Amino acid sequence: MPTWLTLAKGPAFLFVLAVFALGLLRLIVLTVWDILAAVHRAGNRRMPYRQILRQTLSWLLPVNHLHRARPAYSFASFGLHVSILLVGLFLRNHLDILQANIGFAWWSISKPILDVLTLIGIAGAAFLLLSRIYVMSSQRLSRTSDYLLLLLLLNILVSGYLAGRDWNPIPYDELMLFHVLNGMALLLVAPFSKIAHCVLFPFIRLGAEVAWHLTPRGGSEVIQTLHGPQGRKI
Amino acid sequence: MKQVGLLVDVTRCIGCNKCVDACVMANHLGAEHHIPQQEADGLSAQRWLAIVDAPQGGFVRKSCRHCLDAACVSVCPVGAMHKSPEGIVLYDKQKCMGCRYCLMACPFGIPRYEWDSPTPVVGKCFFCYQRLSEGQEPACVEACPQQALTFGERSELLNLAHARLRQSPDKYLPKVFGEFELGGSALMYISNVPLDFLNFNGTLGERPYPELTWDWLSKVPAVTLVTAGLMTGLFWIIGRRMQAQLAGKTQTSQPPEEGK
Amino acid sequence: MNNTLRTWIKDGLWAVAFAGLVAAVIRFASGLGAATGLTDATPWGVWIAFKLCFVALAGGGFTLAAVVYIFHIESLRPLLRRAILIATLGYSSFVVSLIFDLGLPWHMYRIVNWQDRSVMFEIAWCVILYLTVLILEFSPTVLEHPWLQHPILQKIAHWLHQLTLPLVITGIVLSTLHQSSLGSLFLIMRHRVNPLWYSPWLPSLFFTSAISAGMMALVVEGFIMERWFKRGMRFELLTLLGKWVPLPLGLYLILRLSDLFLRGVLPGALDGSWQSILFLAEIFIGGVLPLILLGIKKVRESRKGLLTSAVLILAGIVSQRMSLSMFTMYQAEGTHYFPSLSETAIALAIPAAAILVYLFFAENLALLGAEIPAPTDISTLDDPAAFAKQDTPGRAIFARRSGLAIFVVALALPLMFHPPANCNSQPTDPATLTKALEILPPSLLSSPASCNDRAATPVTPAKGWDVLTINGNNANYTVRFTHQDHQVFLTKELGSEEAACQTCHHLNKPGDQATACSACHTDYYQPQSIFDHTIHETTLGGNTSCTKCHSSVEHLPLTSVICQNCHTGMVPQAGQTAFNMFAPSYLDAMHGSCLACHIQEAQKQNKPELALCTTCHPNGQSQPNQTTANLPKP
Repeated sequence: MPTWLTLAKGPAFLFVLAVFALGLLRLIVLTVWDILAAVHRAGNRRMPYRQILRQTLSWLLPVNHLHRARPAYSFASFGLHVSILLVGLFLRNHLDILQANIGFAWWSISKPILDVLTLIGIAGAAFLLLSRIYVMSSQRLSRTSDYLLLLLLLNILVSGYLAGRDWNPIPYDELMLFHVLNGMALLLVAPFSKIAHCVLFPFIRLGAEVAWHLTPRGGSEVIQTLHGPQGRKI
Repeated sequence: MKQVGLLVDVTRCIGCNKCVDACVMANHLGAEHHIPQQEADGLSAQRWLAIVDAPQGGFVRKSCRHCLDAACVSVCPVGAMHKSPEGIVLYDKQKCMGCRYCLMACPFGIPRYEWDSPTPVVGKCFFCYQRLSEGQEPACVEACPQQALTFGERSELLNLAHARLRQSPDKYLPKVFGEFELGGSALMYISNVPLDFLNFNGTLGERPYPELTWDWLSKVPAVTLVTAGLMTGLFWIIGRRMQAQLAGKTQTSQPPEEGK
Repeated sequence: MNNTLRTWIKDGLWAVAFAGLVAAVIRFASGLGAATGLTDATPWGVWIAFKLCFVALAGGGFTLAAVVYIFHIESLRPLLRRAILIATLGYSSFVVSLIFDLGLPWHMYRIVNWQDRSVMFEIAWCVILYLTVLILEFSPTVLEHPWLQHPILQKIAHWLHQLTLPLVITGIVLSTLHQSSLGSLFLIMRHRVNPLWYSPWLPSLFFTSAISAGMMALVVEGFIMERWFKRGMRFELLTLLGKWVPLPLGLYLILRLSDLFLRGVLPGALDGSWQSILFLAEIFIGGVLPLILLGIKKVRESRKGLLTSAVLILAGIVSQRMSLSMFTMYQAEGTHYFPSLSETAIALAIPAAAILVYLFFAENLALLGAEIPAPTDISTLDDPAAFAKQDTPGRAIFARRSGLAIFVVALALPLMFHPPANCNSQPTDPATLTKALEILPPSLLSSPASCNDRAATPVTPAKGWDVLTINGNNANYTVRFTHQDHQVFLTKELGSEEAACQTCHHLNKPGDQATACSACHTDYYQPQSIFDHTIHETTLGGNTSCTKCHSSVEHLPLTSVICQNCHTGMVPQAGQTAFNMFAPSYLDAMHGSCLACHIQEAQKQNKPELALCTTCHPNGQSQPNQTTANLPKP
């Protein structure tokens, strides 16, 4: 077997997979724990759970929320997310690797569809990366890790797309090794970076809603928490 | 019921493995899946009978000896290994809890385990007990094209074996293997090659294995009673003596007071 | 010992426990073979060895109970609770370990069948009953906790106090029985146990050594707890134990050596093998040396002296248990046993968990001294600084332990878990399987060699010319195959030379005319894959090559084209597809192709001897040492 396949079917990949799955599970548990603690402390315990649920669901389908001021940004972001989820989870080759590692997998989506989606994903990631670099408002909010994570995604998408092409100019085995290594890096950092939003997403609305129901002095306590006891009052 | 037995004439075996096939068919053992845990002799939880190459040449059957006083039967804590009225060592997988003491205790290393199963059971020959009750011979005996195997009553088989030894003494080693070893077994061999490799090398002696533990186990009731009695007695005696000592102390300390 | 070190040690214990948890899942999901290094030749391993040690170290429970209650030596009462807790944990470890070790632990209730000839039956009952006794003996200590001051619970505690003496005597009787019976487990393994460790007196040896080990375990525990909690050692009491332990230990050594001497085995201890060195070390460093040390009052009453002797004695007795049941047991006939990673993980996780439970009890109960220790971490929610931290103690502990668990589990999983080997050549094709079943006797149909670790038996190619000498398993039991006669006969039967050749040479290598049988049937006993997937994939262009052979995305042999489409030179036998996923073993191939024809011809020509084994394997046996030297040269 070529190196990349040995790597992808071997123990190192299982390690990465376990860190990914268990790390995200731990984050979910800790987040729920914290939200429950916050609810417990909040002065007003009546939460609009129904509204929170509705908002969360509507954010899952962002057609309602596409940013009117930045339609291109929104489309790129949506395209990238759909592309990553579908190609990542339903490509036959990926599922074979999963099968080799954990012994089971699920149905796949046909390759031509995923090829198109990969292209959309590449375009989306490239657009987001460029806008982070050249749009000032984005640039100011960005940290180094944000650029690196996008670059990682772009690496994976491009190498994966090239590997399936007949006109692929790069040696196949080396390209696949690059693809696998980048993929493993992405899985490994997921529970420790903002990529964790892939599972924490449903809790973001809930957390935000709970935050508004904290005790009357909650705001100043937040400031104290952030700036220490001598922090400025609002 | 009379003790049954199986006589193997090693000189007649041509190593065709038909007995193994018959055993597999009769007991529905299915295709063998090789596992790293099994030994090279060919026996496994799915193969209860094997033909092994003797070091000095020739083919020898290896399977359960059905010892008259079997170690595996005696050690089994749940009675999964048990004796049939005909003296056949049977195994009841419904009772087995998988302690593998039988594998450890068997001096011939016969019982094998299903290491690759989450619900493992022991596999070993039981002389096709089902077929016997239907009035048939064991499948291996029936399948042998050379009549190397003879099934029947053990005492008759011993007569037959000794008759063959007398008839052609130059063809056989002058010994029926399994007649006396560890108290004797139902599976017996007559052979032209030494069967040391089957643990018939004289080191095991003729005393049945279960007696080794029975020496201690027979004393268990006595030990129980003696320990319980001793402990109760000691508790009482020492307690009394200490009380007496205490009382003595108070007495010895009292007289001077009285003397005052 | 500072707090950081304590946290690190606890984290370490938790890590070992987590690793054991992974191994436990593997053990129950995939069976003993996947999780352990045990084999048919070595059916008992490190779990049994550890179990013997658990019970030996737990010997302090009944010893101290006897000393305090029966012999009325009240001065040792402060050590009693700890001794009983250690014993309880030791026996619990034994039972937990048993659940992993038994193949079908849910059949444990079958122990109700009376089996008075089985030592294990007796041990099982004694351990179950004694563990119950221990729990009853220990529960009054638990019921002292402020949280458990319910009147009913207090009433139960009162009853248990009243029951103390019967419980203690029952406990001593049960311990005497099973401590010695653990030794008699090995009486029936005379053929396995190394003569230096075997003895008909094993029951007495186990009993006396368990008393010594139990006492010394208490000494070592006292020193550790002193370091950990900075209290509760009671050095003067430990010295007392050190003063008395020469009695059981000396008895054990005398019994052991005199039995070996009387049976004449003792000279074996001087033959210089590693077993004899281990034996001598066990006796002298782990037995005689501490005996002398403890005999000197000055040494006994110094901290270092007492601790050293206790550790040496424990090492000696643990070595005796482990050597007997593991190290020296499987030396015969080249059998090797080495515990697998997951097996070791479970073996270590059980004592690690037991230590954590011990620490939990020591932190929360009046175990070391009279008073219940104050809780160390007080949550202060009203304190503004605490709001900043926002961590309740429970959350902090969970965050720490789960963070640890992720890395331990993620590391342990790939190291211990080996998914079933992905065999390209598994006979999944129904047509091939049916075909194979027709040809092969079931005893010889097995999974391909690439899926298992069984030693391969490579085939020696047939030698000769008109008469081929087939020396399949390299054992010089040869079959002489009259190649030319077969060729002539088949040509006559089938009418053409080409058809005659193809009858046996049913599949040829690309560009070959008469590929030898041994070219594909390369192993004597095991089927081999004849198709190299990797070579095909690489030469046809990686990821884009799949559809060149497979008709659908399903990556299965079934969906692939037959070899002949590209390798036009290949000639399949009549009724056989050219694409077989595996070639039967050499033995099966030979018997299969020869026998089918021989049986047919025997019936047709009315010559039954043609189908007899002896026709090819004459004189009842194959002929040894018939080499090509006797055969005509081409």
